[in-house]
Amino acid sequence: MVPRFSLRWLAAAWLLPCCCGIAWPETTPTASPLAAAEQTAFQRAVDQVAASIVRIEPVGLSTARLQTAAEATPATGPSSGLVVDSDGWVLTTAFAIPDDTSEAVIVLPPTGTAADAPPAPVRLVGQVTGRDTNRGLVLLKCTPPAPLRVPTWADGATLRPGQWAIAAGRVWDSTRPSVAVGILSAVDRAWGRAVQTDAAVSPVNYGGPLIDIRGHVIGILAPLPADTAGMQLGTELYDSGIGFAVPMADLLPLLPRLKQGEDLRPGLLGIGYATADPVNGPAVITTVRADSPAAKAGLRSGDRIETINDQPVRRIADARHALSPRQAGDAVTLVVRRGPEATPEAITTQATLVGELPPWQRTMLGIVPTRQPPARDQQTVPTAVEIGWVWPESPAAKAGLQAGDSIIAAAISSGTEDDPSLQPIGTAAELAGLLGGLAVDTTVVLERQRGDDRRRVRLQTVLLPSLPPTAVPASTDFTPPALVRLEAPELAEPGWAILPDSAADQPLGVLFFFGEPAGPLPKAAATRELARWREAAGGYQVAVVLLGSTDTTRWGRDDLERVGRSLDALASRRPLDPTRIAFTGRGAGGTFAWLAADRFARFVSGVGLLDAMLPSRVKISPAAPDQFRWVLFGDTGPETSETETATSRRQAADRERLRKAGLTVGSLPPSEGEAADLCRWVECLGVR
Amino acid sequence: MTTPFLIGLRSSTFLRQRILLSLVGSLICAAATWAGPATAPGVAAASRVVKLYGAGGVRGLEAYQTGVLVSPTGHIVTALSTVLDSEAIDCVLDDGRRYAARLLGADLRRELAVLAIDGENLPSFPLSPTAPRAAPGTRILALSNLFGVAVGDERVSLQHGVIAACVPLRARRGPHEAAYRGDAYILDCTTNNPGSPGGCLIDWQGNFLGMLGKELRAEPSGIWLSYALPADEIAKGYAAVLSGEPPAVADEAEEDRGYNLRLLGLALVPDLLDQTPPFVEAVQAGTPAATAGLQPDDLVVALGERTVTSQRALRRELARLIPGDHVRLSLIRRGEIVACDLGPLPQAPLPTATREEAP
Repeated sequence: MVPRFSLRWLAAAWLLPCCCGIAWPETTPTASPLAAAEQTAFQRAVDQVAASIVRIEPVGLSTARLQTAAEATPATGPSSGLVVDSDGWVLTTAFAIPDDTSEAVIVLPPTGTAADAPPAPVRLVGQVTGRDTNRGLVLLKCTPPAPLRVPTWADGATLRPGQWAIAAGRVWDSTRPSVAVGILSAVDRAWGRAVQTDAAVSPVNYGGPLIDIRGHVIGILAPLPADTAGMQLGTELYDSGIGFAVPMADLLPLLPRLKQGEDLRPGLLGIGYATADPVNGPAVITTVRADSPAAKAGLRSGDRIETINDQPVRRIADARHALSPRQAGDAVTLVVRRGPEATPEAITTQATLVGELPPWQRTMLGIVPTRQPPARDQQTVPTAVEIGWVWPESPAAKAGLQAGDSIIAAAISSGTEDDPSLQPIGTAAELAGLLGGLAVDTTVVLERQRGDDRRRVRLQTVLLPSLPPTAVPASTDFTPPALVRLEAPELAEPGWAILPDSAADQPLGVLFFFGEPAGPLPKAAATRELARWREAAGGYQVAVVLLGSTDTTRWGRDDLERVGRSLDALASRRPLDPTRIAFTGRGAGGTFAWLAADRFARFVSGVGLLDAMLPSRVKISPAAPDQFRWVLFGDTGPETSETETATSRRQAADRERLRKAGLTVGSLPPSEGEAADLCRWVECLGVR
Repeated sequence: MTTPFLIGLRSSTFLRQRILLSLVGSLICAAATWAGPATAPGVAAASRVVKLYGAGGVRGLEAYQTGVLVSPTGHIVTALSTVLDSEAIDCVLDDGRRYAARLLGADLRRELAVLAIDGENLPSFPLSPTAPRAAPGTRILALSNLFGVAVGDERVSLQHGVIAACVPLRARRGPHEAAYRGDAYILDCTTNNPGSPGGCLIDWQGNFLGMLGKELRAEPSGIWLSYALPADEIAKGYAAVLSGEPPAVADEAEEDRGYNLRLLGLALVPDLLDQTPPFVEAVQAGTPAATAGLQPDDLVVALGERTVTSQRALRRELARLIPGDHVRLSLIRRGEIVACDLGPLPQAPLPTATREEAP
């Protein structure tokens, strides 16, 4: 027995209700004319397209592929391709040709049926001319000895769920395509990029055609990830009953661009939304990235998207659906509503999508809003953001803003208008959205209120400093935090939380701390930790979560699940501040903290690595407003000089990689008050 | 007074008729509600498929599988597995009859075992070594004790799909290569799971097509396979076991005894990774490789019709050639495919001189 991927079980489990528990009636077998006719139709349909299906064999070694290889997902091997033009153009998927390879062997189906020479497949070298990274497809060019057969394309407008869909490939047998029969499960899937089928789709037919019952090609079978389910590769879904094909109707207009050597990349607009929930979240722009197509098109924080290319948009999902099928270079027309909800102004604008947004780094004004308790009722609309404290020496400090002031309106100054019309600001989240995408030296106009005094101030953004200020106001008047066991349903070996007592229902910052792996944390050890954290956790209103490893020798995959459940358990007890969640750890625990932060990237904005290194070969995503990450290193100093050089060299390389990706990277100086340093940093994560 | 007795009799007759009626009714109902084109062949085949229970239950190994009756006197073919490593193998027919099965013998190459139960006039599939092969696209039904969900007297599970391909099997079980390397039907539905080895594959006319094998992963992609050994191979394996031929032992040291790169005069780049591509590092003068014009930096992509994507695969394919075979290599040289014929194999391999060494 070997461990296998759970989807395979799932696939089998689906079949079970169909095949057990039913009392079969006793009859004698007779051939069903309909079943026989259908079988003949399947085989004829495949015969129609057989001459256009090729095998693609990888050439050379892809280091990228070796890195992503995992036990559960197929990582390498031959797959299929489809002729799209008679003079040697073949489409396949990036499964066969990873990004770091530029050629592959194309095996054409055997031709000629001479009795003396049995038909033999023809091998040709295919060179990559263009990639569609939005859909994971690759166009190859080879020089065939004779014109290749181009299949008949199905009419994209007539596709209907429920119709027969047959997946064909040429990996198993070079003389005859493989056949998998199913139906069309859905159209317009994977954010408008694919159709879905229940025919068995796997590496053996990736790149091959999905055909209808007449043998007309519906699309190219491709491993597209179901990203809403947390998948990244798409191969996780092989043979699961969920397969995708990119419709030919979408691809044919793009072929000329791929032939000319153009790479098609996902088109980016540069906007962010207030919520990560695409299904329920309204399509209200909260963040506009500096110098992005959205910024150039004049879109602003607070705009409500109404249509994209005439497609009506209500939720975030609608906007993604309209934008995902577009590539970099495509122009889109947006209609947005701006201004008061009762009398909004409709604005029509055009944006040209880009493949890569300008690098982004977190900037700030230096305002730290007071933590607001979650709104108890929907009736009272907050109309101001109160400043809790001002970062020393920051633009806000220089402009004379003080703790206790309120921000009631704000605008980004384009430089041309001296007195821009301000947008009302009622919550810290609105302020964060407005400021989130800004570049350094952007002028922001704020309207602040101090008592009866109301005036406008102009500030310029600066880069977020890499370390918190040394003095951050902390509460001195608090009930000492208590040690609480973080129990939750299905949570094995629950951890401990050092929970500040807050009568005001103020949202708490969160700091997970992972030590060296030593198995579940006993109460005695947690109590010792309580003494260490008590003062800082109470002063900065941070819930410190202490989680031991399941295994006594290492942090494992199961522990990632426990982190998520612990976070849920904490959120069910006390309101949490979503902008102040940090994962830290020491040694192997620090490396684990990084992995955990990747897993819960939506929530975690701080990672602390104490005497720890990044996981080896880890991919670092570029910083973005909705994926802000402040990384803090802390080294108590290694024991021996030999490990010192090797470790410090690697740590220096780690830091450089992080900075290049636009993350905020700081190094805590050695200090006795580690707990205070970390809790102070969690408080600072909320700076705007 | 006979009345109570009469009443009793009447009521019991009445009851019996009611039961009969309701049985007929439920059958008609079932036929009307449930019967599809797969029902009749599925039902007919189910009476010839048995559930087998034997050893297992430790380390996650299942203790159950499936078998197919192939003679009216109770011969059963099944997959050779640890389930059969048991003093007592229980065999349950689809009508609930239970038998103790004994192991008659096994064909190690096909990983096929033959069991016997003491039965008479049992429904069975006759085997033929010349049974025709079914083409890709042929609709199939698979019957097996999938996951052991058919408990007690319940019938095995029925699945449907088509034959995806019929090709020589290249697969592995964990890190080891699968013993069987003959043709196999590849199926488009998820048939090969715990309990399904030894299951029955039929077409929609009810013809026996093959037997489901054990769980395997395809080389080199590692995807799980749904496959079955074709009926003709089953017939040959069954005949071999009955005739008492000494079982062909799976050859563990196959790679060491066959032909190798040294005999051809080829040295490849250092094989440091699992998937190192077969780039030529050096060609020894005066060897078949030199005569055929191979050059350093050539990349071998195929041996004959077999694709090779790694050095391991090239060595393995080379080891399978027999004296007299032509060695035809397809290479990539400067972006073009080049075919090289190294001629018939240079000499019979010497058992002592075939370890892989640099020339």
